[in-house]
Amino acid sequence: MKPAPLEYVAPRSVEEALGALDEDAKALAGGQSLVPLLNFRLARPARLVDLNGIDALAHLRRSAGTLRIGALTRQAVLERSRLVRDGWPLLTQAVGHVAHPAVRNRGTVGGSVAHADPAAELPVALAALDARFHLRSPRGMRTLDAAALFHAPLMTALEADELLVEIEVPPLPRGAGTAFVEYARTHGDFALAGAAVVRAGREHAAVALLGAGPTPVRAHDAERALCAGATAAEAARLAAAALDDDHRRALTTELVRQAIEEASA
Amino acid sequence: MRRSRTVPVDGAADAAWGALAGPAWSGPIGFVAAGDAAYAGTLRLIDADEDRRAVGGHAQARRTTGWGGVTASFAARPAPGGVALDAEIALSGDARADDGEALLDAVAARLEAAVRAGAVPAPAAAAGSPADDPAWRRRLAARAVLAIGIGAAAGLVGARLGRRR
Repeated sequence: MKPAPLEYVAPRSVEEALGALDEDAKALAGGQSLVPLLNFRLARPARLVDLNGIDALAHLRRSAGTLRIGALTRQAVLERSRLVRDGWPLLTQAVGHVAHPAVRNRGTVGGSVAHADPAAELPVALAALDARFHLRSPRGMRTLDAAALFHAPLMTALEADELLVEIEVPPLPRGAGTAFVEYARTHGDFALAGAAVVRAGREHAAVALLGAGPTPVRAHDAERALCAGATAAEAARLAAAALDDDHRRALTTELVRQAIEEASA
Repeated sequence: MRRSRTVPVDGAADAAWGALAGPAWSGPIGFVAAGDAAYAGTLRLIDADEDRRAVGGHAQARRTTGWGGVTASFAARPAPGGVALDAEIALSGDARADDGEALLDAVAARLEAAVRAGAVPAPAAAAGSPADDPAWRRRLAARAVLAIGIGAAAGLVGARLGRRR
């Protein structure tokens, strides 16, 4: 099938894009999720606002120790970046699990976040890294953390006339190890479950779960337990304790245990 | 293989950094390596480290005739006397080590031009797409004729065998 008739707009600046966004519009970044939805007519916007001509949104830089990811940064750029691999290895580990190279060449970091698929890897990794999301609208800028941004499957705090412009990732604690582990039936498929872990001894622990809820879930009980000296297995059991389904709970427990051990090694 | 070199550029380090951190030197890239092997591809700015004043980039190019590709992941930063370039080069197909050096020459030339000009717009690909090369098109046409011929022959044989049954 092909998309229903729509108006196509290709702004060259964020201001132009904001002027074109409203209740009947959808922003197009890499199109790896939106275009299939359009083709199946599951999404029928009256206007498509193509962000690909806005160079100001395609940047990846470290400034004052903080990683700044433009919303239009391709996933392949994140994957190839030595800066990210050295400073924020969790992002490199997570993005390697996103679909296949062809999808990552086109897909964007901002698109993955704004789409808010509960099985997406990057939102989970960003949640574990305490990332902050900068949203811009005609009313101004606001900054949210992952807990405030992600509301439900495919639903975020983004208003209809609002655009995710940048993601800010703070530096990792000194000596931190990271790991991203997931289970999918076939390579590149949506994962059934997964875990992103940041661990710096007993000083810092972050455990974010994939597929454990409608949004990326931070396992605060497990984090506190790790800082108090719990083993990987004990913390993993706490992280998955809230899951109802036996299979998913067992799978998540094992993945979290693996991730904690890998991050602690 | 790992290669390092300094691209000689006059001027202040601030100006060099300003040009490196801009996206203007990204774009199509083309060069001719030793033995007249023409390559076409792209050069991309990957990341910019404002704290350490270094940029990361990725260049990749494929032979416009024949099989072969070269890629280079590199870091560039202002250094005394110019821009220091550290690259990791990978080859595939019929590409030779000289072709990797030629890719690095093309990257260095683009960086040098960008730093000299402040920032230059990316030129169009010098070597163009393989589809623009008449020799490549002739070979493609010959292969297509051969494939159609084999297909037609197989169809005729199949039809004849079917009639016998």
